[in-house]
Amino acid sequence: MNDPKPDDLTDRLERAVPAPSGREVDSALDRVHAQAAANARSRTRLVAAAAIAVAVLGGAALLTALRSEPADEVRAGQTGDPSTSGAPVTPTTPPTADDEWPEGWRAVTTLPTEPLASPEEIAEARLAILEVLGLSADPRAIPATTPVLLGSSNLIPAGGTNDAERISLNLRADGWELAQQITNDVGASVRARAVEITVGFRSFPTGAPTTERACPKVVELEVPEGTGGAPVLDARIELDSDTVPSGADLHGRVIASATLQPIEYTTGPSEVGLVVRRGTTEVVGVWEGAMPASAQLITFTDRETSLELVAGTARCGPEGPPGLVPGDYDLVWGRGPLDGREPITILARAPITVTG
Amino acid sequence: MPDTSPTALAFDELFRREYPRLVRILVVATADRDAAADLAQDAFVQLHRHWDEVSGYEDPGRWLRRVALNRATNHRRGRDRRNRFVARHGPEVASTEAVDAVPDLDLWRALVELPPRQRAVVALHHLDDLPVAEIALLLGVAEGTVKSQLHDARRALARSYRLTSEEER
Repeated sequence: MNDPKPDDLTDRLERAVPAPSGREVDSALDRVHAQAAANARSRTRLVAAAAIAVAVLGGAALLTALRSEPADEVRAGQTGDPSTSGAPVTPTTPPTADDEWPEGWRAVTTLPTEPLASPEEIAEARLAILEVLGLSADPRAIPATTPVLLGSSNLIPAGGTNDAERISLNLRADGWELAQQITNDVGASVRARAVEITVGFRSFPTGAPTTERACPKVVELEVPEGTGGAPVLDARIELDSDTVPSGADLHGRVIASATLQPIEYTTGPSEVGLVVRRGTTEVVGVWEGAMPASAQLITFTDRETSLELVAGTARCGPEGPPGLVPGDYDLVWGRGPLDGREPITILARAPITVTG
Repeated sequence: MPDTSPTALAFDELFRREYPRLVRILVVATADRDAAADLAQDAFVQLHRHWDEVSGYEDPGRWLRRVALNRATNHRRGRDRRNRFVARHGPEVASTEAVDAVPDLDLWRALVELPPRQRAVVALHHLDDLPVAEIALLLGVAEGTVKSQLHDARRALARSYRLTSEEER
């Protein structure tokens, strides 16, 4: 093609951009060798740590996580180039319910397969995350949580420093797209090295379970004999909305009264409901936020008492995507510990619909 | 002790040949001399890591430029983010735009007004002497896009400081 180059522009650029001197080139080459050697040592340490972890944890799940964690994002035709966050990130989707999960997994930690991020990369990632989350970059104004950000560590620089090695984010079960957005903005390579994200009870982007969260057991109320057939606590659920997007929270109230005699009940700031398959006692969805501490002593009487209720639609158990599959479910509330030591007795049930 | 294996020597040879060219491209692409040196170094560290594979490529320099220019894009995003931070929260994070004390300040003032991609195209074409087709391949865009960006860049530069209008020929 005819490809004219104005000599004036070329000449002026040649003069305006002097080439590095021989000494500068030598110095830069030394720095590259030093950095490459440091990175190699860092990778060696990580491989050793992974080997130890495999031995300790039983191996299979961790190896799965290591294999599936993308160390490098590779752009088409650009083999092995990890610095391509200028290109769109290959979309990752939550695993489907049909995915097979490794057996015996427990506390799977995704180990970085790249050298640890530099303080500058951590600082850049922090600003990008805050921007994606719509939070102020002023450390004094960053809230500990938002509706979707359930928790984090190192998102707020401790003492104004950026020396943390990784930022951890705990997103609600509907935060998968947000996690992808963060990855797009931070860059896949930096995300993999500097930012650890969980969505519901799943690790991003592998979808592997992060912690063992068994679904609580619930049982239907059995009315004791001699009570005349009346329940000891009459309760119903009133929801702000009975339709909720998968992964999001339900809010409402439990309204209860004691039918025979006053019942003392220690409650938290809000009550937590569970999601079961419609008409069953099979728990499939739980709230992944912090469990409210028991705080208040409530005495139910024959007058109605209203308690705040919150419920999540994060999928519990080791299988499936972070949020519940859209469909019809029941929200149940009852008495009993949520730690799974003994079944929770269902005292109220309300139909809900989970949407996509 | 320095590595004197043929592989290491080949890397060093490529470094001495490509580093000065890469730094100059990045200086124009980023309008930031310090960042250009850092970005070039980072790109060579990546090259070092993938050297076994990339050294077998027909033109490892092309791989290197692509990595470096992608990193330059990330650098610009980060700088933009810092600037937004500054705009909201005060001057504690300074802009890294550094074009003073550079020869031909008029040219630099005109260059920094160009969009970053146009600066990269100008650098690749005028400093690295790459033809339009090669630039298109490198940046992953159509040749027509490169031509129009070159045309727009030259016209803007000519307007800014009265370049000779050879580009109109």
